[in-house]
Amino acid sequence: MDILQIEHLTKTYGTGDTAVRALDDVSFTVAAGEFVAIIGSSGSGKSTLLHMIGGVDRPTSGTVRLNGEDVFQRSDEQLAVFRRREVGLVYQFYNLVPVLDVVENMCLPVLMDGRAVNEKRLTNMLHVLGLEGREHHLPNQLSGGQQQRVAIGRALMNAPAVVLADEPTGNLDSRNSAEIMSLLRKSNKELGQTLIVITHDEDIALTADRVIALEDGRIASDTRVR
Amino acid sequence: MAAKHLRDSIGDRPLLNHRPNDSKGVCPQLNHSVFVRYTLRSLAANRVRTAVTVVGIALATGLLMAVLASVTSLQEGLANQSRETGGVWQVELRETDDAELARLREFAGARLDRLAIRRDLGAAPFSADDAEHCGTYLSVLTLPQEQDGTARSRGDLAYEVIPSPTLESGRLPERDGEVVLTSNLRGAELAPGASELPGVDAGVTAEGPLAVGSEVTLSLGRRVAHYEDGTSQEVGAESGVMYQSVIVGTDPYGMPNVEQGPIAETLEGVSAPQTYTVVGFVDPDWETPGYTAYVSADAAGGAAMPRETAYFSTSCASYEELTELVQELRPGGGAALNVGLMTYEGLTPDRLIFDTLGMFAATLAAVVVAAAVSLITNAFTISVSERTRQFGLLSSLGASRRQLRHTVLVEAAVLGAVGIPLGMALGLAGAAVAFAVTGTGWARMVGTASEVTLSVRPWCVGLTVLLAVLALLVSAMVPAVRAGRVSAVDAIRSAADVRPSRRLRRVFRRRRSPLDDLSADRRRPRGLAARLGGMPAFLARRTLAVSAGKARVAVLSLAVSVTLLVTAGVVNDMLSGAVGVAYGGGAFSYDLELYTADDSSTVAEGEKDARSAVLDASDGTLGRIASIDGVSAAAYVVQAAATARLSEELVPALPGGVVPGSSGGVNVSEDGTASASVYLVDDASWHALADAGVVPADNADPARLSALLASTVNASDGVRYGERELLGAGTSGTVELLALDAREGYGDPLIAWGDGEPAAYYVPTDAEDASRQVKVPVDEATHVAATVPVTAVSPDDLGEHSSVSAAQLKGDCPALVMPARAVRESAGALEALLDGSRTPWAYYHVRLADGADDAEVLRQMDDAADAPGVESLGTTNLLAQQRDARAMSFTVQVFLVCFAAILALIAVANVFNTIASGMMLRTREFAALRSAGMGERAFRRMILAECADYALRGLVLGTVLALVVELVLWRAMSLSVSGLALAVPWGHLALAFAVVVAVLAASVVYALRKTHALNLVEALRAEAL
Repeated sequence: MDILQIEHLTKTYGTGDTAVRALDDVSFTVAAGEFVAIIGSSGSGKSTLLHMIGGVDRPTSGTVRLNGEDVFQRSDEQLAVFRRREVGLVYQFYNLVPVLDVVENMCLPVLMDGRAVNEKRLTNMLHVLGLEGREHHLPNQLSGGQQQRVAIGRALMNAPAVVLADEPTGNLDSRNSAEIMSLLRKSNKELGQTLIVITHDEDIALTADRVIALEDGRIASDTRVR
Repeated sequence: MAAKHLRDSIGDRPLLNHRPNDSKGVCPQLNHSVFVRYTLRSLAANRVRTAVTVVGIALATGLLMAVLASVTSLQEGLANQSRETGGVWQVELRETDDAELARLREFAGARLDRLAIRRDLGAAPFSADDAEHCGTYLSVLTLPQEQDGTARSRGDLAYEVIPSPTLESGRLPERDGEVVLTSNLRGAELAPGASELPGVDAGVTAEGPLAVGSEVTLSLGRRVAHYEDGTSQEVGAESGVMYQSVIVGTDPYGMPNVEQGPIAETLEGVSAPQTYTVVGFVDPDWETPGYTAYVSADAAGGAAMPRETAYFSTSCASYEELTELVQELRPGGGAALNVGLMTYEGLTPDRLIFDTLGMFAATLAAVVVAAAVSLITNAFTISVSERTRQFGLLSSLGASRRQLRHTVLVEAAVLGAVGIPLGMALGLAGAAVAFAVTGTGWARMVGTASEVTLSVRPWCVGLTVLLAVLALLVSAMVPAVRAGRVSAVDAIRSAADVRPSRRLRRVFRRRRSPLDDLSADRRRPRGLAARLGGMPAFLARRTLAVSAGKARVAVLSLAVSVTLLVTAGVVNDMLSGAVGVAYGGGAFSYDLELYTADDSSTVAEGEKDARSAVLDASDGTLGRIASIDGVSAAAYVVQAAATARLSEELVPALPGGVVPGSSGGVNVSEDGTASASVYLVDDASWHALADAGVVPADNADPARLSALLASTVNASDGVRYGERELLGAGTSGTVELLALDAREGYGDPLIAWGDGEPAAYYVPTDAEDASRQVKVPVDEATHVAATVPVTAVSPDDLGEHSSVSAAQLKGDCPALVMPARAVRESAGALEALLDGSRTPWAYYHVRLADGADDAEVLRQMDDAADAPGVESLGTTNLLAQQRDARAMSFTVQVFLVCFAAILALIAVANVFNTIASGMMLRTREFAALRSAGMGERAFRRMILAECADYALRGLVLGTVLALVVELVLWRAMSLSVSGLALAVPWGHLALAFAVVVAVLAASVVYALRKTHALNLVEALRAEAL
């Protein structure tokens, strides 16, 4: 079953002579539980694509359907609800809220939604992410790897339809990179979490089920790896 | 310098293979200019904050400039006032001569700026008959004549070296043989005869009344005072020894400025009579003994050995230089300095005025500098923390601490280079405008005829620049040092400036389980804020808890704004209140007053009969005054006195400690014998009192003899002075007006008080000494002339309906108010009121119609007062006084409001910088929250909650500070003005709250616009370096 359907997605920045077409008529679908890697050189439109799927940015034209629903038919306020319920975002630079501790950061989307935090999921997640004993640290008291694990925790906490990760290891050393990727893979394999990861790293891309290569805002290739 | 930089940054090791010799050309320069360019671009990138900071610097500099310029302008105004009335001379040389003047020119050289000479031709005695109203002598001076051949470079040519007398009519003498006299001599008829000086005939004679064109003959001599020890000394304007009257015996009048008073006086070197034509009259000048006549500068004649006085000014830069010059000229002393003017010019070591103004300026300047330092420090702190990552990066690239510090100082220099000149221009322009608007008010305060205009001295420009630069340096130094401490690591770590506060760390330490962060139902974070306001409130609260320091800065800047705004309002109220207290009119608020009395010469010569001219003329005069154009209402009160006896029921019970005859104005003994003040009012006033029910209906007719008695008095009981009620209002009884009996061989008796009892004193007409005077009890010395029904009333009720003021009535006890008509028609009452040498005074009060010319009405009132046997004594122009008071209070308020407004603007700029920048620094955090699913509404509520917290704390703190300041101001003001109420200034608080909340809102809206304008995607992407 396709959980994500992207049709004719186009995004243009600027107007007239200075217009840049970051995404140019991109269409593809992602099945539930799939692990997709998106690769491409700088400026090929990877991040733009991810932000569209995540409801952070609106496209110039085209549609994104998640669970069959058109994401951009929603108002800004509904889009905020969409972001906290349906997607989990992981960034290269973590983007944790500096004034909240680890647990508060992880629970942020759930709490903003006004739902109860699943205690079991939280303790389990803290264990899996190796953040036990660090529950009440502020982001600046954590290492980069730890901060990224908190970010993953925040993305997974709500059991979103899809987790979107933008170069999640781009800012980390190889040991931490490997750990982060294994965590993400684990969520994919064990929880059936649909996962879209942007990466430069070919090794990481090759661990995915499918690799989509972007070039100048278009899909250059769409290869099923396994 | 640049090469030194490089060494500082890399130590003494060569960088890579870089050879130091090569660096002389391009590299160091590039290094240097890179930082300057970096700074300029940082400033350009933050256009709004840069602008706000520049405006802040400009406002502070401008205010400083304006304060100093205002002080120097005031000083200049005072100096001009002194120049106007006293001339620009610095040194006066009495009894000088040509030889000394030649030496002066030689010693002073080019420093001699202006020089004028005035000669004293001597004095002529009036005849003994004339002396009574003309004074003993007529002194004759030449008009001052300015000498050529001096530098005249000080720019004060608009003023005279020593002013000529002020003309009242006619013109000043232009050639020998012309004279101007003081205006009091106009119309006088001079009689020949002996002068008061033994054996000397009158030296001033003229035919007919003196007028322009009259001829007056003067025989001028030199007054010489003789002392007990056989020495003698000249008396006169130019000798510095002043006696207004002839010295006979050992009891001279005037000011004995020698240790032992002179015993006799002679007139010596008397010239032959010389005739002068009167060409004008001038205002009297009290400097010389007696009245002064002026003749032309080239007038010949006069007493033998005419005396010369030289007045000169110099371009000496210091008091020391000037005194040295004078010392050289007159080693023995004997030169006078124009200390008043030199004080205002800042030249004397005695700088009392200068210090007062200086302290005033210093206090204001200190406030301004403090506000400026706070603003600039905040701006730089924000600028530095915003660029922590950039500094970290620069540091990782090898920038030394010194270089990092330099970038901040360069920033300060750039901001200062724009802000300081801008501020100077603004300040000068603002002060010029303020003086243009309020120059008249200042002139009134300073007492000069011309307006006070802006006057800037070089030192105050220099001081402003110095203070502004110092404030800028001090403000930039701390942030600069902090910039230097930024390490390379900071460039890599995010959110480096968010550190948990100690309190938050304690809270976290207590939390064990991960679930401790959540409420019991796991739906909310823990804590009160989340329970009350959900996630937005929780986030807001946490932000404030974590960055407590930043919050404090914001709260403080809000509080300071509130304090400044409220203080400005309160001070305004207090000053207008003070003006109101000082100038608030009585109940019958009149604009103009004229007062008259019986002509003193007819009174003195005993020509008066049993009637008073003033009393007779009062109704006629009032009618003439009431018909003057521009008069909307007129009333009179004739003030007289009488010996009286109050009937038993009216005798006041005096409070303990009040002694009749000595405690304030209480002059009534226990048996009711009294020295009463009597106020006679016109028919209309009496009718008004009757209509108001103050006068009982039976006595409503002003032709019926009756009186009102004031029931309260202001008196001292020996401890405190205060208003005391002596009688119940409404008490009625009678008062007997007593007339004193004459005794053969004795003059008119006097009533005097002793031991709480009055008595009549008779002095024999031919008595040589007072010991033969006779004291007679009042009963035996008087007879009842009239019996008058009396009702006691409160003075406050009375004051509302007549032109007798309540204050006047409370000043004396007993104070009677009677209808003038009935008194005039009652021979008995007249006999009592006019016995002895009593002369009533009449006060005519006028209220003006809108737009009436007060000066013109006053002139016509003076004409209207002309009546046989009546002398007009003077006028009071309350309207002009109030106008002056208003001009002064307006002036003070303009300056105060400007000052407070600019301070408030500085505070507002501070709030804007702190709040807006604080928000903008959190762009990424906001983006993270929104990407994690925070909706627009929740986001706004979070910001609102944060601002509400700032505002609440800022306003509470500001209110407390403002009230403290108000209390201090109130106490200070209460020292000089009583009756000021202390109240919570709700209006000003509300206004201040509104302004501060508006600025807060504007700052936040601006900041959010700016952060929203940034693409959410961009913000998330990260390292906006």
